[in-house]
Amino acid sequence: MAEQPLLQAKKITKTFPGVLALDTVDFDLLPGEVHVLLGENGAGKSTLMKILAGAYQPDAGTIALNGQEMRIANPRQAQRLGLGIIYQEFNLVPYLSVAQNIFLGRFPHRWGLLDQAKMHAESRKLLDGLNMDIDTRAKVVRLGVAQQQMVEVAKALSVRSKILIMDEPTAALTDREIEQLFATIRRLKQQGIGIIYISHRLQEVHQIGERVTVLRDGKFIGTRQVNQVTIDELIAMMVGRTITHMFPRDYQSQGTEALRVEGLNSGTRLRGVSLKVHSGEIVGLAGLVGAGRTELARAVFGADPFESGQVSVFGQPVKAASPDRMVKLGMGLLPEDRKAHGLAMILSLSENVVLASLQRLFPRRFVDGGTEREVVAKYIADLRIATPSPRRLVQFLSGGTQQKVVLAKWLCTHSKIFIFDEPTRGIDVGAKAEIHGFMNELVQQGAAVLMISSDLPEILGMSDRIYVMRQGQIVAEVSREKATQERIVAYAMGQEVEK
Amino acid sequence: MSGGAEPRDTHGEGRARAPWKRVPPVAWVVLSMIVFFGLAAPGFFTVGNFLNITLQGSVLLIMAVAATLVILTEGIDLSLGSVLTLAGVTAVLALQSGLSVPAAVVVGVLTGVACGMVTGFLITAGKLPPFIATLGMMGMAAGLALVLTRQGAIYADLPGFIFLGGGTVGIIPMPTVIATLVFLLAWVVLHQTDFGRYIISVGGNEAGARLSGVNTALWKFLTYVVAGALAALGGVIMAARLRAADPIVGSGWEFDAIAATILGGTSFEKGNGTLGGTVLGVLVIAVLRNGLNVIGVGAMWQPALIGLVIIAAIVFDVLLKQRGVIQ
Amino acid sequence: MTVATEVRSRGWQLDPRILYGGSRLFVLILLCIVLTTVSPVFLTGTNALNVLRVASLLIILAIGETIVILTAGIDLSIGSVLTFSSVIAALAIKAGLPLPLALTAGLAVGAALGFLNGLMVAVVKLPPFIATYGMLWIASGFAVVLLKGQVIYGFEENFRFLGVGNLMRIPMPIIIMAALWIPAYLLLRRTTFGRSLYAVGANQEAARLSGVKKDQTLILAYTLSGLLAAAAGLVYVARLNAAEASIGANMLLPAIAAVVIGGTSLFGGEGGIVGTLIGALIMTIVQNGMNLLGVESVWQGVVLGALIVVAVLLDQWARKTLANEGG
Repeated sequence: MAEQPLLQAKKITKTFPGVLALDTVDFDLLPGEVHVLLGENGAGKSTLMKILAGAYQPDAGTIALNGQEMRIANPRQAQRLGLGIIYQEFNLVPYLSVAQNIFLGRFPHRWGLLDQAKMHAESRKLLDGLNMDIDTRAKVVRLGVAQQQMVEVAKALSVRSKILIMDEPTAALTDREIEQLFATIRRLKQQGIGIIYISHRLQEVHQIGERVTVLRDGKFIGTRQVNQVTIDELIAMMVGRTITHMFPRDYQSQGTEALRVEGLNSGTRLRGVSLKVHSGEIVGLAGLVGAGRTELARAVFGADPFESGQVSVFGQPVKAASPDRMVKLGMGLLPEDRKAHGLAMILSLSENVVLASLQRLFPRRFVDGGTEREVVAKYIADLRIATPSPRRLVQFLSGGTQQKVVLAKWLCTHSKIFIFDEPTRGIDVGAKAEIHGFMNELVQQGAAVLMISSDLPEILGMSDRIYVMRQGQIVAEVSREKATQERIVAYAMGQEVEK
Repeated sequence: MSGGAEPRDTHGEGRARAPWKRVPPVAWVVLSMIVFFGLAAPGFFTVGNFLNITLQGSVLLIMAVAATLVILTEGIDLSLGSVLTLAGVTAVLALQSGLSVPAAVVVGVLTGVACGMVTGFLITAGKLPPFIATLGMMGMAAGLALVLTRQGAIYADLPGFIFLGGGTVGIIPMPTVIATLVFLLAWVVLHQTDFGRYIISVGGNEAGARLSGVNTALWKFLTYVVAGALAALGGVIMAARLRAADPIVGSGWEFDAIAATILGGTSFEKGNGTLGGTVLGVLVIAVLRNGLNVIGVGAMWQPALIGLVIIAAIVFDVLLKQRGVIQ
Repeated sequence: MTVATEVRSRGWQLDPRILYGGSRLFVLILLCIVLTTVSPVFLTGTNALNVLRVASLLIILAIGETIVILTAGIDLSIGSVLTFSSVIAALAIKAGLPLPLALTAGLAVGAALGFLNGLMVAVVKLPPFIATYGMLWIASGFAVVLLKGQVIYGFEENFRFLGVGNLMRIPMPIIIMAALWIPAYLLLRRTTFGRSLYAVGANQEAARLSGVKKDQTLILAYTLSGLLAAAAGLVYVARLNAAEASIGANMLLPAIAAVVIGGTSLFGGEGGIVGTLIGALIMTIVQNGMNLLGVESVWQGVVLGALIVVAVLLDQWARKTLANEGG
C-alpha cells in the first residue's frame, strides 16, 4: 500500500535518570490499519505511547503526521493534532456524567454557563454512532468497565481523532464485550482511522491486527505483517530467546483431599458451589467474567462472608472462616489485583514477603532482623527475584517481579493449599513461564492448587482437572484428557456440548 | 478477569436508582430530630424558632460550603476557622480606622482571599499535602489575629455594619439571606460552570483530568482562594453579629464545617458529594443545638449530647450504606 | 503502565525511608546551631533540660497520635481524652483512693475511650475523622459535667512529684516520656504488632488478605492513643497542680503538628516516633528560641504555623536532592 502514513516516528530516543527507555525506535501507522505494539513490561511501549500523547518529549528523533514533521508539546496539542489516547487506567472522572467526561476540558458554553443540552445531544450522537446504549446523564462511576471504555472511545472521537492509541483495551472485558470492541474497531477502521493497539494478549494480534511491531528493552526489534508471522516467532522477538516450556507440568497421581467446598451459597453470586482439590494437583477454574470465580475464591479464603455451605481443609470443616484462620490452616490466596490486594506498595520487598508469616516466624512476637534477612534471601534466590536489594520498595518493581513477591509471601507461610486468581495477568511472557514453573514445583512437593484464569491456553496447559463456572454455579468438571478450548467456552457460555 | 467482589454492577449499564433510595440518611436524622423536638417542646415548631435555627446555622453553612468545595478536590482546609477569625479582625480594624462599611467588608473578604492564595500556592506549587499547608496557615492566621488585636476583643458599633449580623430582610435575618445566596451561588458554580466541573475532576481523577488537558493546578489553587473568601465572609458576619472581633472566636469552626460536610454524605475520596447534603449536615448540628436549648438542656450537657448525636448520625449513614439500602 | 515499572534499578540502593529521618535530623541540628549562635544561653544544661521537659508532654501525646496516623487514621479526641481521664484521676485522688489506684483509674479510662474509638473505626467502620470527632465532643462534654464548673486543685506531694520532681537531676516528665517512648519504639519497630500496624496503614485490604488481624490491630492502636493521652494528662495535672475542663483543649493541633513535621505520612504506613520526637523537639526549640530572644508570645502562633510549612518544604527539597544524587 503506497498510502501516506498517518504517523511516522523515526529514531525516537528517550532517557530517564539511569535508564534508556527508548533507543532509536521506528514506528509508523497507515490509515485504516490496526498496528499492534508488543513487548514485555519495561520494553518501552508505554513510553512510546506517552511521547505520542504529548505527555513526554523525546530526546531525539522525529515525528511526522500526514507527512508533516511535528512536535507534540503537550496532551492538549496531541488532541488538537488528532491523536486520541485511551489509557489502561481511564482518564474519566467518576462523579461527572458521561457527557461531561466526553467534553472534559472543552465544555461548550451558553451565556457563560455550561451548555448541558448541547453536550448531551452531541454525546448521544457519538454513542449512537458506536452502537452503544449508554445514558449520557449517568455518572461514569456507575458504568461497567466496558461501557467506560466506550466513553473513552467516544471522547477520542469527539476531538476528531484520526489516530487512536489503545493501551491493553481488553484487559478487563468479558469475551462478549471484546467482540463488541472489535466490531467497533472494525467500524473505525472503515472510516480511515488508524489504531495503535498495545496488548499482552498474543492471540489478539491475529484476531484484530494488520501489522505488529515488537520492542524489547527499549529497542526496536522489528515490524511484521500479521499474516506472515507466528505467535512463537513473536514470543522469540519479545523475549530474545525461544521459550520451549510455556506450560511445564509433570503430572502425577492424585493425592489426599486438601480442600473441599460443599454447597456454598452467597446471594445470587454463588449458588450451591461444590468442588474438591487434592494435594499434588492443579485444578483450573474457568468461566466468563462475572461467573463468580473471584467471589468463590474470596469466600473460600474467608475474605468475604457466605450464607450457607461448608469449607473443609484436610477433611476438617472450618467454622467462622477469616483470612487469618485460613492462613493458620495452611491456605494462601494470590489475589486478582496484586497492587490493590496482594501487596503493600509502600513497604519493602522484605516486609511484604514476611507479612503473612509473622506468627510462624516470630512466635514470641519479636521481629528478629537476622531471621528475616535469611528467609527473604532464600526466596529471592529460589524465585529468581530481580531486585537490587530486599529493602527496595515494592512499588518500584516490575509487574512480574511483584507477582513473584506475592508468591514468595505465600511460600513463606509453608501453605499447603494455594488459590491463584489470574496468576499471570499483565505479566510478560518470560515471567509467565517462570511462574508456571514454580506452580509445577509446588504441586510436585505436594501442595494443592486452585487456579482461576481467563487465559484458556494457560488453563488447558496447566490443569489436571478443570471446573467451569457460570452465573455462580459450577456447570462442568472436565478432565485434562477431554478438555479443549471449544468445550470450556461452550460450558462457560451455557451452550450445548457434545459428549 | 472476574467481576471482583465489589457491590456495584461491574458490567451494568448505569441504570438510575429509585428516588427514595437517593435521599441521604442524614435527612432522616434531621427529620426525626425535628419531630422529636417538636413533640417535646411547643416553642420549637414556630416560624420564629425556625428562623432562629437558620440564623444560628448561617455562618456554619457558609463555612461548610467552603469545606465541601475543598473536600471535593480531595483536599482539606484546616485554616477555615482561623481565617474566619482573622477576617473579622481586619474588617473591624478597617472600620475603626475610618473606612466605610462596604470597604471594611471588602477588606475582610480580601484577607480570606490572601490566605487562600498562600495556601493554594503552597499546595500546588509547593506540593505540600493540604493537611500540612492548611495546618500551617491555621497557626499563622490565628497568630496574626492575636497580634493585631493585642489579645483582646475589639469593638465595632457602626449601625451599617451591625445590620449585616443583626438586621433582617422582611422577617428573614440578614445572615440567613447571605448564607442562602452563598449556597445558591455555590450550587450554580458547582453544577453549571467549568470551575465546578473541574473541582470534581481534580478530586475524582486529577491525573486523568490533566492528561485530558485540564489545568488542574489552577483550579485547585482557585478552590482554596474561594474557600478562604467564604470563610472570611463568615468571619465578617460573625463580627457583625457579635459587634466585636474576638481573636479566638473561630477556633474549632473548621472541624464543625468538615463534620457537617461529611455528615451530609460528601466523602473524602473521588469528588463524591453534594452541597445539598452539606446543608443537611449543617441542619443536624443547628437543629440539635437549638432543640437542646428549647427543651431546656443545660449548656453543660450540650457538648456531650452533640457528640453522641453526631456519632449516631454517621453510624446510621454507614449502616444504611452497608446494607445496600442506599448507595 | 507507569514509568516506575520501566525504570528498573537505580544506583541509590537504600530504602528511601532512611532519608526521612535523616533530613529532619538535619533540620533539627541546623536549628540548634542557629540558636546557639544567636543566644549563648541556649545550649546550657538548664535550658536544655527545660526544653526537653516541655517537649516531653507533647511527645507523650504525639506518640499515641503517631500510632493512629500510621494506620492511615486520625484521632481528634486526644485532647478531650486527656482532659477527661485526668479529671477522673483527680476526682479519685480527692475521694481518698490510694494514689496508684487513682492513677490506674485515669489510665484505664483513657484506654477505654481509645478502645471505643477503635471499635467505631474497625468494627462499625466509621470514618476515623468523624468517630474521633464525636468522641472529642463526648469526652470533653462529660468532663465538663463531672467538674460542674469547678477546678480541682491542691494535690499530695507524691502525685505532684510526677510533674515537678527530679530523678537523678532529671525532671520527671522526661523520665516518664523516655519510659514510654522506648517501649513504644520497640513495639513499632521490633514486634509483629508493629509490622501489622504498618501493613494495615500501607494497605488495609492487602494486610487483611495476608492474614493480619486488621480489627485487633486498629483497636489496639486507638486504645494506645487513648492510654498515652491519659498518661500525658496525668503528668500535666501533676505539674499544674490543678485539673479543669479546658486543659486538653489546645493540645490536639500541636500533637498533630509534631507528628506531621516529624515525617509520618497521613496516608499511613510511613514514618514513626523517631520522627515525632524530632518534630516535637523542633517545635519546642523554636518556641524556646523565641522566648530567649524576647519575642512576644503573641507571635509564637504565627511562627509555629510558618514553621510547619517550612519544615515540610525543607524536607521535600532535601529528599528530592538526595534522591537525584543517588540515581
